[in-house]
Amino acid sequence: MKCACGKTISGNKVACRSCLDAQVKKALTAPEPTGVLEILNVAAGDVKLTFDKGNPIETIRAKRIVVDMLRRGYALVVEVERGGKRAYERVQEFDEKNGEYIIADFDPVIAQEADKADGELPPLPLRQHDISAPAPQPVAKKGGRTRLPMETTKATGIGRSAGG
Amino acid sequence: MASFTDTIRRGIRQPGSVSWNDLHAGLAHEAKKRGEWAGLPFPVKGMKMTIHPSYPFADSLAEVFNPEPELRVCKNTDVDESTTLRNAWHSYRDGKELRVWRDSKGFFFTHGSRQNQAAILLDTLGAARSWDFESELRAMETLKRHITDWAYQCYVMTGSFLETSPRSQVTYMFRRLRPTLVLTSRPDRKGRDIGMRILCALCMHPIGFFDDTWAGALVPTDDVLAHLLLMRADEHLLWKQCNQHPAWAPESGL
Repeated sequence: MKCACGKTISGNKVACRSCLDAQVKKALTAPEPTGVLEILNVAAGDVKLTFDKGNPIETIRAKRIVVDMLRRGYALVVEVERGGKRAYERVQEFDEKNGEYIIADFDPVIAQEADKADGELPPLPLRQHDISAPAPQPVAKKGGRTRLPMETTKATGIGRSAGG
Repeated sequence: MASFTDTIRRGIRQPGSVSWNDLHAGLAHEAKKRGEWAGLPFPVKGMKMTIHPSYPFADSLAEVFNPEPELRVCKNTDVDESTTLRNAWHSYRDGKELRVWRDSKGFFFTHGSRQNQAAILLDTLGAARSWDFESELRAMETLKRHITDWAYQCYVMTGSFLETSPRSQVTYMFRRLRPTLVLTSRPDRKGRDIGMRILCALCMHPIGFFDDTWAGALVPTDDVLAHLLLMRADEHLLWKQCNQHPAWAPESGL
């Protein structure tokens, strides 16, 4: 009997020693799926759902849960890296087909600084006859979207708020 | 695992046979069945809850275990049509509400009972029956992952920690079992530097809360986590969802 690498092995073995060692080493060094969804839960504390591409049934279930949570009004908060620092963003949508969270693609701090740099609008005219030119309208800024794969993103689900 | 209704039925058939853990497990099972991923709130005897109306059993869970209100038949003499309320205000000095009334004989005033936090404190202690100790420990572990070591040490030792929003430059004091305080050192409207001051106390509980307490349906640290994560991810949404209590109000927890 031969191993996948071509070496001859005995009949009661599945692979040679070097191939088995390589497989064990690969399994130990392979990055674990880091995608996790924590849900702040009443009874169980924090419920955790992990997303593993190797387990399609679990992945489909997790996708359905995320869609259902957004539909029910849960706030999903994801951790992102911005400028080497950990930041947080709220999920706007979820792409069930590709398993991706969709968030607004702008840094609120940078956006605020940009707004400041634009300068403040001139004061509105006090009387009708002061109007010589149409008042400047605030320019709507179209923000982009960023997609984050659920398998590598840490998210937290917060239930609908009842006020306080 | 037995369903919630089965557990209740067993409790009615055999009084004393259902434990607190059985009820918790029953509610958790019901929540899972209905796809409520955050669970269902656990009611406490004699305490009224406010639950988001979209939750299943929101009305019944809010009122369950509460005593029936006493019936009283009103008489015609109970209402004096000639008496009208002229003014009402909160006295900071006396800590109570003062009211001026007018009737056929002239003016008179009344005042409410002194408002302090004693009742809220005691009722908050009562609401602790609805929480699971292990859940609180798990929530603290989660919080530890989200904040700095020093902030976590502050939280364990004092029940609160500070964090400044990079966006609004407002400082938040997140507190266990109390509304989040919002602090700012910005100059006032006239541009005068008046130092650090409290803007308001922000109160918000996911799922629900016990009326007239600082207790929510979630364990205390999960409430803190909800405030913290919403502040970081969507500050605007946090302010939109929170009730704003002035610093002098007993509800602010100051």
